[in-house]
Amino acid sequence: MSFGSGAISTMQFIWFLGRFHVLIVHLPLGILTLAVVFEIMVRFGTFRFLEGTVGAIWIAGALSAIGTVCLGLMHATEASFQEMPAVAAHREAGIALCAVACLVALLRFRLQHRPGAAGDNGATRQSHPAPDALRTLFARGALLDRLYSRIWFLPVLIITALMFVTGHLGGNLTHGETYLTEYAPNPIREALGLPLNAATRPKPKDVASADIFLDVVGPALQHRCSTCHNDSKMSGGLSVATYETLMTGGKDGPVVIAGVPNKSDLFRRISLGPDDMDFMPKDGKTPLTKNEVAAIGWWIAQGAPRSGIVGTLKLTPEAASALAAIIGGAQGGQEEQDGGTEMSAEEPFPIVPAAEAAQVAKLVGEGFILRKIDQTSNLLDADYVSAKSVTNDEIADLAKISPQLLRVNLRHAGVTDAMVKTIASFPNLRNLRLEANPGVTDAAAGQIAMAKSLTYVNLVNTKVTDVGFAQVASLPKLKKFYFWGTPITAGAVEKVKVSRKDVVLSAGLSPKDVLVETKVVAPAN
Amino acid sequence: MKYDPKELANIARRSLLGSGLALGTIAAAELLGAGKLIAKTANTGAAPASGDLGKLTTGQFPARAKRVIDIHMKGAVSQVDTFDYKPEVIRRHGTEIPASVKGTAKVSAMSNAQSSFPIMGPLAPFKQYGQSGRWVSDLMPHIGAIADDLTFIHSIWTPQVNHDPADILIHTGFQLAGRPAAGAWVNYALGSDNSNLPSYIVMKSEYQAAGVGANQATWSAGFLPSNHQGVEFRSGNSPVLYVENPDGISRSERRSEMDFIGELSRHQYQTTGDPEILSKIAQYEMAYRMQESVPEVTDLSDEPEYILNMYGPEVRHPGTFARNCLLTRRLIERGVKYVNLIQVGWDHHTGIARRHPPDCWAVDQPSAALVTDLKQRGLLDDTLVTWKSEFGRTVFAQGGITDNCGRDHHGGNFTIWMAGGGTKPGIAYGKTDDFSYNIVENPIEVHDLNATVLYLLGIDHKQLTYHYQGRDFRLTDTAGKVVHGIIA
Repeated sequence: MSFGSGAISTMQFIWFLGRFHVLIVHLPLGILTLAVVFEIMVRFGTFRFLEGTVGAIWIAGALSAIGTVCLGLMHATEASFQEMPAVAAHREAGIALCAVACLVALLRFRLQHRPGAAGDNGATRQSHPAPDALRTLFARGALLDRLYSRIWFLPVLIITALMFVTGHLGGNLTHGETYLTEYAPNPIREALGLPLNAATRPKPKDVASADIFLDVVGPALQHRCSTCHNDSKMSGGLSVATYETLMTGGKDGPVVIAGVPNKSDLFRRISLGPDDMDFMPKDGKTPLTKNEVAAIGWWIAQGAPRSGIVGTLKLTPEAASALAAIIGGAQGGQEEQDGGTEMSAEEPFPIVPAAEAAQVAKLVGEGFILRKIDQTSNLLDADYVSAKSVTNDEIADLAKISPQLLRVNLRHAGVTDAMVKTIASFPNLRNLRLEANPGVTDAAAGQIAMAKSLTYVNLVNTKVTDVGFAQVASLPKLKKFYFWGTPITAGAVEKVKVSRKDVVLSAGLSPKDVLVETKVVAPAN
Repeated sequence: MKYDPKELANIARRSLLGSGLALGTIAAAELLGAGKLIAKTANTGAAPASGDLGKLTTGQFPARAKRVIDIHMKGAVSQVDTFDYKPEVIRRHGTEIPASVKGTAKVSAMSNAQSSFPIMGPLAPFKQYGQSGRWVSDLMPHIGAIADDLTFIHSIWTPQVNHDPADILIHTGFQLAGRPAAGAWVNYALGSDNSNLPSYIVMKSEYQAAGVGANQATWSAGFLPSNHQGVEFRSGNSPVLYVENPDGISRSERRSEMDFIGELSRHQYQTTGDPEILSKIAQYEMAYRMQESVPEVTDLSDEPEYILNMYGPEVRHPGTFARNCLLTRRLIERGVKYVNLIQVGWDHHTGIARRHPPDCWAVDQPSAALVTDLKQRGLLDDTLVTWKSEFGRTVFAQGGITDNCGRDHHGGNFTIWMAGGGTKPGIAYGKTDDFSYNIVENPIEVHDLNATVLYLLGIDHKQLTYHYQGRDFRLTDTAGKVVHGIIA
């Protein structure tokens, strides 16, 4: 759905309904199974009394099959299904199943409502003004009746077979081809002609004794790529099922050029940015980790061997650290997946419940702008930029949502030391902007020094001095500290700089840093 | 519902959709959204309006930048004479550009008739600056001095080589006027962090335009509701006229007047359903609050003398680029989300040797001062500065090498720089050939720039859409790739 207007396009609505296919599909499966079971049971004396219900069950099964097929056709219009050949097979099997079920249901219904059958009366006859020929066809002892009582097991068999086929094809589409047998014991895998589980390989003891393909590249590809690139689905003509199929490549030729990662389409696609058109995996599926990508690149650079003990190959520092992370069990770590290297410098954000809506609304009325930091978090950025000064009551209100506050901006808000005491108690506060508040002095700095989660502190144009500076600069997680326009002296800064090389201590410019421009160039005519 | 025929004549097509004729979901959605807005405005009454979180309410990923300063050099800066250092060009000054470099692509009509295309070396020598060792022309010494804080992109290109279409393209993602500018999209998506100032402000400096002026389509709201349009500050003594109340009108009288007009407007809205009325109400309220906030922003009496000096001598003259840079810093400090600075000049088809140096001088010191000032105040971390043109200029001289020659338009590659807001400082991204004529590494199309700016703001450019005339529109049209290589 677009952010734009809130309007729902027809296609989106069709996709919305289509998703219910995988839910509703269980209705015809259940009902038709019941019909099949009843159809068999009525052949035995004890259960003959079920005879009257079988027709109704067939009808219910057929109707639910029709509904499911309709939803399935809608579901199949989603872009991600467009290039899957398995969809066509599933669709044809499903439609066939539905057609056979309808046929049997009609037949069964007519048999039960044939002239002279139990429960038949004039009214029924009138409401079913079947042509004489048809009526004769269905009459007790007539051709169809006799035929059906002889071959009743045929539709039952066909329906059962079609249910298995359609259900299996559909299951493969939803869960991936390897889902069913993923945990199959090896004897079964062998009997099915599947490659033996990689899990049977003992976990390598260390990087040096690991096999680059069998322990690292193979499992990574199996884990993240084989849902679409397997022997039967073969998206883009590529299967990663075995070393051979991988090296054969896809419909555009080989995807691995041994020795040249940069010319290998496999490496190119997995190392693109996630929003690139060519990036793999598609459609927001979980990508390979940064380390796995690095390991695959290195494997290709090593000539993409079928098997090779890492210790015997030439390791690059990058590959060594990637392999260590993978074999040490670090692959799939949360930190790596979320945006790669770009945000990794920052500690993960704490997970907090949503702030109480009424309290947020109250603060908004008081002039705060509260914004969630992103769609996945309940943490908030708070900006106070109202023309009037903030009051103690408003700060007390702010404190009521303190677990949610990640960044607080109180620039030029008439903040006092007492208010800072409250603010410094916010448990998850990382950024604090207090610029242009003459009421903020060393007392406030002492309080700020207690807010151990702070990474960014802005005290530009406040009254904090060397005493307060040293206290704030001792914050354990501090990364950036700005204090231009304060009485803090260069000497105090130099003293701290020795021990806090990890912190940007920014005093800003002083009058002597700025040369007065004397050269005057007249604007051109 | 009864319509006055005169009123009906004024109803726009859009407002018909919303006026109860119930044309499908679009109308319903607009009505619902608009209804909420009414309730909100009515509730807040005379109090300062609450913050507007925008349509997105939360970003799609954690934002690295919270604000953007878009500095645009209209007319096209010559990359050859400023930031794209090419020793080969200096060596080959006066010789014909090799055919293998120039290729067969047609050059602009202005120089196409030339029989020869002599390479013209840069107008001034280049020097290396800082830890990063970036080469910058002696005409831009202040920008050179902060090179370690900047991200140069040498490999941006544009398909358009006419000023206004290219300018509109780089700002709106489409070369014809009528689409929303990036600033309007950002305003629409993220709203405002300061309810007393417009969230999207445009300042054009007073300067010899040399025939190519700023184009209003580059800060238009396009089809977005018109309150997302860039608010133009005047370049004279008072950026906003008539912010004072007339003699004898007190602030509270003004307030009750606003309330009454607001009530009338809301009545009108309930009759016609025209969403533009809501924009108008919002603009009146904003104007009322700006009566207090604007004088405070433009009063420079609290600026230390040396800070003024840092922006250069021209900062003392209202309307100059230097003054606008200083005002930009003051607006950014106060939470304004998007400031667009426009400086004209630069279109040096002729007389480049005479005209280029003063144009550089007018922007070099103030641009560098703005970045430095933001940095020392701790605002560069989450403020993205982009410094760019709509395209570049040719390495060959237009009209042969003479005293009065110039350089023609060149879309194949040009140089822009960015600072802060999560960009990687001290790097040069992308490479051009030895003649600054073709891109040889990491080409960036103008849509990629917009996709990257949105990404830094926490917005997925593919998901920020607006449904208009039956389809979803976005800033990057059907293109745009985030340039991860420049992100820190």
